[in-house]
Amino acid sequence: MSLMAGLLLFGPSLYAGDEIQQQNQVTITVTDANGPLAGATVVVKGTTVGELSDMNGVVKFNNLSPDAVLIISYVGYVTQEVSVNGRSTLSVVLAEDVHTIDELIVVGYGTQKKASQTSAIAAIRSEDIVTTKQNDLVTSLQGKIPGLLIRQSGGTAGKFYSNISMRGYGTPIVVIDGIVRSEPYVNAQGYGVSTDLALAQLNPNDIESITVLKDASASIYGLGAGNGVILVTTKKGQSIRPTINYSNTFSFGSPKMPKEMDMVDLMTIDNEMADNARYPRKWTEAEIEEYRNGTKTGFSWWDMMMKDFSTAQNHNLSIRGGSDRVQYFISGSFMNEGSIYDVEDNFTYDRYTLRGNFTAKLTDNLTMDYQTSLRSTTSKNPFSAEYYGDAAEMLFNYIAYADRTVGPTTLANPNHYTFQGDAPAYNPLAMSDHDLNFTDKRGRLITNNVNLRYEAPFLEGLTMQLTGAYDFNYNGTYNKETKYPLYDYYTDQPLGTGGTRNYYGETIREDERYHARFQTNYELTKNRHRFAAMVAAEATKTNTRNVGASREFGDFYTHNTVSSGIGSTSVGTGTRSQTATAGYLGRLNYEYGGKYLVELMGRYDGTYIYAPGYRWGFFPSYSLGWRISEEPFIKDNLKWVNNLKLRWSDGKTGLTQGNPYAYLSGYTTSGTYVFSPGTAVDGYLNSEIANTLLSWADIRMLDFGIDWNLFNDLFGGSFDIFSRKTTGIAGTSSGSTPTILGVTVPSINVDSKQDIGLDLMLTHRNKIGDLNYNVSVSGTFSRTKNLHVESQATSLWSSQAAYYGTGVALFNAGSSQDRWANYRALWYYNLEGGQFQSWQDINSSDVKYDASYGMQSTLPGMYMYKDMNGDGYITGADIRYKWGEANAPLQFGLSIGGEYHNFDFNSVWQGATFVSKIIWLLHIFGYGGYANNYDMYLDRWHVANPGDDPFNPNTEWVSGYWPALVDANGPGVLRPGVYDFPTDFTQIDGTYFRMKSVELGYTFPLNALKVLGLKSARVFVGGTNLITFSTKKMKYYDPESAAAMHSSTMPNMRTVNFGLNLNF
Amino acid sequence: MRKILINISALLLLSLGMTSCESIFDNLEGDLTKMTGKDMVATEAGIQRLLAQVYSYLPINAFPNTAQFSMSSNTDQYTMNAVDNHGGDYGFSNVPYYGVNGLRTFWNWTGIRAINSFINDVNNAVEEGVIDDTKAKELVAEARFVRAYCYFVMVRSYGGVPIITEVLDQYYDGKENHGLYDFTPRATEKETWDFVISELDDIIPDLPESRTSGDDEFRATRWAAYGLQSRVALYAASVSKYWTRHGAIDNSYAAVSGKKAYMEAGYAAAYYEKCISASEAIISSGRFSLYGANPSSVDEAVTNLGNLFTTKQNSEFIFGKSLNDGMPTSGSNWDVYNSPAQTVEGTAQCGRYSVTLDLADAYDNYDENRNAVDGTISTRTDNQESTYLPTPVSNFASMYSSIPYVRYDNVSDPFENKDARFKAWVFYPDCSFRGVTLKIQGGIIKTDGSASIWTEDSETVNGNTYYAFGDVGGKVSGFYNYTNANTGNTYTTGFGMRKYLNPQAAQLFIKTFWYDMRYAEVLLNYCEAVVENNVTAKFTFAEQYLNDIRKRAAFTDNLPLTLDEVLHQRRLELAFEDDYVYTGHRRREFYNQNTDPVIKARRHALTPVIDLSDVPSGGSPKYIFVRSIFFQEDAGGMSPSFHTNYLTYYKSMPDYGVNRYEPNPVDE
Repeated sequence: MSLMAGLLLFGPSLYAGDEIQQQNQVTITVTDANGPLAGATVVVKGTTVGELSDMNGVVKFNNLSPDAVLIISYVGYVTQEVSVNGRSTLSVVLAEDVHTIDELIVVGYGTQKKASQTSAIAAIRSEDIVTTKQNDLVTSLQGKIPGLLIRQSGGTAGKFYSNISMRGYGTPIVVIDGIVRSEPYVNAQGYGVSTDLALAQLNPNDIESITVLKDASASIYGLGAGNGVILVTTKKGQSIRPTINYSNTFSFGSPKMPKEMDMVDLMTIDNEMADNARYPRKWTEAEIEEYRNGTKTGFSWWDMMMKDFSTAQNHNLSIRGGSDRVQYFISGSFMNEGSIYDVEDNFTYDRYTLRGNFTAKLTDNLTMDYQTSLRSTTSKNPFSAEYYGDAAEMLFNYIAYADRTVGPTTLANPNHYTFQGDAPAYNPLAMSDHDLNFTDKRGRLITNNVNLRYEAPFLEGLTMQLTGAYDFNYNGTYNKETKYPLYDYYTDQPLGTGGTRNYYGETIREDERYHARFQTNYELTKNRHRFAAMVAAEATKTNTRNVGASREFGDFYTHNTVSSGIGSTSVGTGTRSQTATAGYLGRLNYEYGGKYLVELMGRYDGTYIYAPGYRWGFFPSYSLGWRISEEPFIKDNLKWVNNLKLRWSDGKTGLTQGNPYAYLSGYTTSGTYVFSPGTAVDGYLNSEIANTLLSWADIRMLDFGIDWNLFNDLFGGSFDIFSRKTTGIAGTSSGSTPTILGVTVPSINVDSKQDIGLDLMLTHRNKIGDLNYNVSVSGTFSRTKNLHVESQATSLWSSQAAYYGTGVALFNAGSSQDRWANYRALWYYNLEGGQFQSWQDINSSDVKYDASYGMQSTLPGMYMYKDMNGDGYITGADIRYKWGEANAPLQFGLSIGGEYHNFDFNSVWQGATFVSKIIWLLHIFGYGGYANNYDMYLDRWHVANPGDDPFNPNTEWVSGYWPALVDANGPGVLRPGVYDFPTDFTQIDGTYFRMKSVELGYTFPLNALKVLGLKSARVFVGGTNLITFSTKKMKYYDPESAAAMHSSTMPNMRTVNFGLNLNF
Repeated sequence: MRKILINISALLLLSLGMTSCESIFDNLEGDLTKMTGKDMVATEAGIQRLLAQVYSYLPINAFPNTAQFSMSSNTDQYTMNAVDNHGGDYGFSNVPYYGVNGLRTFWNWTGIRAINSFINDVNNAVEEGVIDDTKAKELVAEARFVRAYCYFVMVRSYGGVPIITEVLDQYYDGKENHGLYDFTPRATEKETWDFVISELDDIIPDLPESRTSGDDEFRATRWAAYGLQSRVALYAASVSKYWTRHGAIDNSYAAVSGKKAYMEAGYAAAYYEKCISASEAIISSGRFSLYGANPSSVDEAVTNLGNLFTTKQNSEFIFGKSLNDGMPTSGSNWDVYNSPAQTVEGTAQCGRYSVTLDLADAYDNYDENRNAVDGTISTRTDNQESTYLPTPVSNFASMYSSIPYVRYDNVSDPFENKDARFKAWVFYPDCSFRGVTLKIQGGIIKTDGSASIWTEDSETVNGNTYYAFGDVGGKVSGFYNYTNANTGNTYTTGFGMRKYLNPQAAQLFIKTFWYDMRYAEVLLNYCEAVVENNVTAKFTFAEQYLNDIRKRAAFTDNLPLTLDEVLHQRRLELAFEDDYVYTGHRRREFYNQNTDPVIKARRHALTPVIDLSDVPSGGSPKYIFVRSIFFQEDAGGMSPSFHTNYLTYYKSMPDYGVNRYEPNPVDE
């Protein structure tokens, strides 16, 4: 109470003080070549008093010393220092900094000037990330950083299914604010998603910059850095008056889906497919007539279950400011991703983040940083039974199965879910009823790190840092299943049940990370020599705990708590594990005259995984640079060459592999035996050999690069050619280990592979009149070759039959010795002239499709396979290979951005090639495999008069793009064995080029904002995935998403976004 | 400059000293999923856990319920004794299993390693003072007993195998493993049999003479070792004697020329001797006797023989296994799967294994003096009992009138005088079980002479409705819905298997014990060895033991000792006890693919049919009994797969490539 009173009392007097001081007011106007520059930082030198310029480029200071010196800076401009010299108005024109070569880039354990770098390092700033409005940060990076191969696999809400791979090596580790904070995620369900959830779930507005270490420069992170490193740096406070920023985005998305047939076509084609398979027809003419004349109408489950568009929203509020002693950046965000499915309270993902980054100058020499963050996520989905995979994804399948002649609920009772003919237990609407079943997840991640930095007063250039971090990650999964009745659509009589039991269970996982580091840096510049050294020691420990409990409820479900279930059905689980790693590292940089650059690094790294004496490894690397542009013969003669640098790096690192503690052979429960009736004794078995033979895989990374910058940024770029050789990959010598040993043959360091490839980045900036624009093109091509696979080298012994001759063996050989791994990933049959055009074609074919049955079920329009080995039969020996469906090895990106007066524009395009897209004929968007069918298949081979016998050679046929369709789910299998074999029709070239994002922004003129108290305001409209170019055969599908392959993922969303960004 | 260097060095040391190298790794909890070997033998309880693991490798088929050992393997399904009703479930219709296909195999070197490792662990425990020497000797003997059992199962399937008695870890080098290959050569088949027998000789003195009921009664005793030796020796003897029964396997096969899969008649005598001496050790111990040896009536014999398998009878129990793990909701579904459909509610799976007519015929009948007479079930007045109706569904109606069927008053009449063992162990039409009269009937001849078989049908005569299946579809135990794998659940041969079923109610999880070796087998082993080896001096004893077994089944006559009678009694006495297929195997008795007529390999069914064609006013209908081929062998039985390829008496040698073995003949 008294405090409030005090404020009220003193408030007016403080204000009065301001009035007096206004006489010393200094007004600074910051402009660039185009006019006023809003958002420039103006700081009083020697203090940390500062402000941002407003929309007119104006900053006002009161009570400023007449001899003060101001430092005016703005990203992308040359920083200027101006003396006030007693003036009350100053005008500062900032020049654009074309020599971004002086920019400081965050690297491992420090920062480096871009000019001094000798390694393949790419960096991207916050502004360039947020132009792509995606809820998955990984997707926002697509097409922007050469070396990162990214594939957006699917469009299901709340899933982070964008694959990320560094140069084709695999998922890199993620370092956030100096601490390794990776949360690797691998979804092996058919489409092998490999990403990092820590990166994917970051709030992009909190990020200052992202740096990517692509070559041996990553080896400073030791074991685990073999796939490179992504360094994320979050925003820090500034010594300016508090600036409040609010921004939001609203997105509306829909996937690309093929159009389904109308009921009459569907039923007609159902019968046609039955005829073609010699099955009984599914529908009578009278039944079809009911739909034709409108007596009955079919249901479109896609329409019923899906909205026209999904909605997502994102709100972000931050405050940034500080004084000369304390600076802060505090931000909070809320993101909600809604589902495309038209059901309430399901398929949703909510995320709240909170971040506080504080810097305090404790003494003149001692600075403390404290960074803390909270990430809170909640997702709601239908129950995921392990054997059905992810229900949120599988619903997509169930919709395709659903019977289109009956609705989701009965005619009589909208609360009664209907029994579905083709998949009785799965009425998609019931499945997605959150009251009946769910798998909900909650995540809470808290990170903390404190960094004390001491700048030694006794020796200039010496700093020492002590860092500590503690992270806590909680993940809870809540599962509910119920058994519910399903009714007949017409009679409302119970016909069956959905679900298998009444059940509730929870699992809780806790992860803790402790990290401590001591680091010393020293820098010395003398004459033309520059010398920098860093040494550090660090250690990390993690604890993980898993606890789970579940109960069943019999026939009476009560509440969503485990304790409410039946006690005797209680199941409890609990596990615990710890990890520890430690490392000593150091780096030396030497630079002569800014021309000759040398960097030496080394890390002595230890891991708990291996036996004492086998834990520590030394990983050295070096890199060299030559800035040719600094040589007089260029500098003096070719003035338009601003920068030209050659780089070479070479280093060793490692990837840990194998199970921890494999060096201790241990006993675990295995069999049981009853010695006395009524009591089972658990047997304990040690079925492993103590293995100290296996160690980490050794990685050697080489990189040669060229950077250039010509005509003051008009043309810039870099080019890298790289190679990574991994030796000692875990493999087994099962082919040379007799089985009488009696253990599963342990892995040893025996396999090897090599990745090679290149990165390219071209940039162009220019200004034409009032139009500023920039264009950049990037590309990465990487290939992997298996040099040695021990198990296959020795497999001759274990199975001679499997190694030679059969098609299966050839298929396995796709990943075998000394061959490009990603090329031979997909098998298919070559086509001999496409499709059979007539019965005559079929009957006169020299090639038989099956040794026992010949071609008895082959129909016109079906594919003519090529008998590659000429033995007269289509067998495994005729299989050939092509590029697999994967995160493509060759990807390219194009970014275009620009400003014109108050408008700004940005668009990112991305593409990939050397990839295939699998369209199985029997998958949900295929034909014949499921109850539904799609318009595109109307263009098929079929008998001219419906009802004619398709196997009568005299029947007249109408040709089409697709072969004669065959029912694949009837009694027995009469479709020809080769009907659904992969061919060029089903394994389509997956090359695409698409507009990943586009954004058009408008910044309001200042006058319009003044009344609202705003410093700046921008609105934007944009979208993602709106335009796609791909091969013609791909026209019905999204080429990038994994949807088609296993029929279980929602295709990528095409979204339209709008939003605004306000500064107060 | 000097100052700078000093400062830097000091800081460097500070950095490096902050974490001492290894200490960070020392305080971790380690792998909490594993126990170290030292932990395991630190207490007796830990040693018992390891012992349980050792016993878990015993290759005994006690009511198995896993795909690996089809549950039918105890029910003689692979022989002429029983069939699997439900082809769809176990692949019968696709892959006809017969003869040697039913052999249980063992190829588990993890198990052998665990047993060898256990022997080391026990010795360590003695050094640590956890157990004393005597206890250790007993434990080692038990482990060697289990190992001998495993080797017995290996040698009978594969012939000679490597004899590994130590843990081989030290020879693994991760590369070429030359050290390991020193151990891989196969011993000869004879060496392997001899290894099993000599191991048992070695351990017999170390094993206890008895174990008290309730106190680890399912662990090995001295008598279990003798019993196993009796069985193994008889096996080795039989294989030696009959190795060439259908013509020797060509010497050009590497495994034969190397004697890895090779025996000869000359080896037989010594093995028969060993069988006799091991059996005598048990007989002369005086610890064992036949349970219910002297019944006063057939009914008493039936009761005794039923009890023998539902209550553990220690006088006859030599070694066995219990499935009673104390858990009410886990274990084998063997009981419910085999129970008659009329006694099972709430599960769709029952009545899965049917007993063949061939076995039913084999059980003798009593004459009025309880002497044995031929038990072939009489169905025709012309005694053409070896004639079987093919595909009855289509043939019966048109053919029945031309066959002179015996017309019985009651459906149970043909079984009235059957051996007590048949009545105690086999379900037959109208027998009573769990308070229910089992309806096992499959056809109807109507008043107008029209007939149907194996399909639902009925007719009302004199106010009584008569059904083809004896009652309406769901209320019977035979033939109804016989082709449907999942909802048929009825016997398809006219007979079901009763031997181990709980007499009160179907058990979802069977908790009963299993005789792996019982006294009757030892007596039969003895008889067979004596008669095969022609040890005339012991004929008197053998004949007495053979007749003891018959007397227990209420026969009163004494039969002379003949090989045929010994084998006949063995088939009847040990039916469904995991013996018949092995008897056929060791004696190389299976039908030869090349020489035996196809028809012999078919198994047969007996379908009771109610005959309404001639019901006198106020009288009752009659029953005829139709002999036919078991429906699933109607077509498939013609397949040569039902006959044994002589080469398959030795199973395919696992891992012969990587282990660099001589492959078995079937692999070449």
